[in-house]
Amino acid sequence: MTIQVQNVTKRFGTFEALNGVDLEIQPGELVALLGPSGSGKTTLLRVIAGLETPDAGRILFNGVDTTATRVQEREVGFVFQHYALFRHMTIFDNVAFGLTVRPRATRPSKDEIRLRVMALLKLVQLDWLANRYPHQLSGGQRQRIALARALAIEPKVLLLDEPFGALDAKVRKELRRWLRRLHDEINLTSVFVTHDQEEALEVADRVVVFNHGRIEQVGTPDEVYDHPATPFVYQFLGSVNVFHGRLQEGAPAAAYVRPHEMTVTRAPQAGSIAATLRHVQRIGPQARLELQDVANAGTIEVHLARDHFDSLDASEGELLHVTPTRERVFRHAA
Amino acid sequence: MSALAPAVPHLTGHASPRTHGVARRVPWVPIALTSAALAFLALFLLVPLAAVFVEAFRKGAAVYWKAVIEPDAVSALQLTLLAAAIAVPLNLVFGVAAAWAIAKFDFRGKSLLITLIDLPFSVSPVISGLIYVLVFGLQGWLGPTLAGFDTQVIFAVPGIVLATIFVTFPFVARELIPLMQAQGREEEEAAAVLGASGWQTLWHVTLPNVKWGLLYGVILCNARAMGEFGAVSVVSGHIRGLTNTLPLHVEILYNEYQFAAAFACASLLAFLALITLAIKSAVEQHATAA
Repeated sequence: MTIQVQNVTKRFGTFEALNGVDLEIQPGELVALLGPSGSGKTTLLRVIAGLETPDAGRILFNGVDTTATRVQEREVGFVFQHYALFRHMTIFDNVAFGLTVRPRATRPSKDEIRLRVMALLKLVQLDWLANRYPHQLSGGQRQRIALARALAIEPKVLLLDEPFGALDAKVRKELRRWLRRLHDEINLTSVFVTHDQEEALEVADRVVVFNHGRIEQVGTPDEVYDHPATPFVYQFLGSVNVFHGRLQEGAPAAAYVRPHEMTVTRAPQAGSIAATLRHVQRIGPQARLELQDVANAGTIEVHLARDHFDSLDASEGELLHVTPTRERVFRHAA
Repeated sequence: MSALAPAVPHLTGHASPRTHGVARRVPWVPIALTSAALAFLALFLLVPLAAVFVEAFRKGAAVYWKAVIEPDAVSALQLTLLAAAIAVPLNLVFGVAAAWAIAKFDFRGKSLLITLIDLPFSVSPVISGLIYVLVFGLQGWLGPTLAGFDTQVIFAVPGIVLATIFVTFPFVARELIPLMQAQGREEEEAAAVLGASGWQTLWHVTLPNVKWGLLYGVILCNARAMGEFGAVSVVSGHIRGLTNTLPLHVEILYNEYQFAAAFACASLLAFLALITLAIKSAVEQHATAA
């Protein structure tokens, strides 16, 4: 299903959570809404679900305006950050809930509900937990049950709020790969919210970067990482060195360079920056250098291949020369 | 582990004189606090409770029985139970509705509603009774109109029921609001996204999550409804056999120097209170076990 977000604005008191947001999500896509906390990404997800009403703007599902459609009738699957499983119901009843509350005319028979719930529990590989209660499950298991429950109503779109936020690092990595495979299997238009750039880049087809209630950039993971549209995106996705200066016509500007997009030499090069080596950290095949800019005492971070650094034979305190291999210049906002 | 194992006996051996010293020292503070609490309880709760039953049976079981089955006493007991039977279900419905609205929705005037719910707690019960007299009494705002319909509220059963409802208003809501607020709105939102209507969400999600708190609130509400004196006293008119509740009946007997009969009826109330307490602690045990 296509989701269109048109000029959506939402305020909470004086706080502007969304400020004229436009976005189009294609059928079958897995889209990540990425941004720092308070940037509006969760609000947009809730507006799409119908849990929040926008102050202005429209939401279209397959070209049909659904802004005024009640949340009960939107047919969306929503996975909450803390899962929101019904604590007094068994896992089976949790997953069956969306079917058992249907009016009699559209409600499947008891046997049919049982078959569907068990099939979903098998899909999330937890059919053996059907008779347990939520508090008896681990975080990762609850997460998958929440997903099964959301899928039970055969939603047109799946919305996930920080789906891996409450899990420990190892489970998180496993689960996000599993989610990616599941998405490829069932091919349901999906949107998930995250503040973790690695998660967004690894899982999503497209990444939407949020900041202060606005969209900074929309693109594939490669596009947003390699060609950030704004300084904010540059800084939010991975670490970056910022060199302030002036353009030829005199306007103040800043050059953004990723730590791995620089070379280090003993002799000065054209356009190189003189810097003192302060600290070296060797992590596996990589050497992470912390240098101090001789001109303005600013810190420069450089990531080099381990053998490249070893061939320099440099030690801490020595003067070296850093040359950006790739940079992006942004004018300062007036 | 193997490196630590030999060190352990050495460590405990070293530390044992000190730990013994701590163990031998008498824990005065807990003992003092516990005995203070128990002495207070005995003096202010157990002694009066025992006195009620001792005084009730002072002139023998026959006098006790006579006082209890006397028609005025029976009618007072009936009226007490009737008032509670009307007030408690009404406040149950009201309390759930108010708590649900306050905990799960945002609306204008929410803090005003919370203040209003607390009003019966902050106003003296006698004042609450007086308010009803001023509104429904024959000299009051609505009294003459009601008299035109041949309906009497003050000095009649409706007044007693109204006063009881007012005084027991906050119990259920006050019990549920913090509980529902602590549970948050996510489960209700999840139910809504899954297609459940408001009623279905209330029945299948919200109420099962607060059932023990709800029962607890109802028990407290009931205890107060049966024991209320001040507000009911003002609106009752003390007509024997008609508008006397059990607490009022006890007062009348006491003022007439019928001490044995007064304590006999008081023992009925104390007995109702004890049953309520027993149910309450059973509920609490079940709730903590669940």
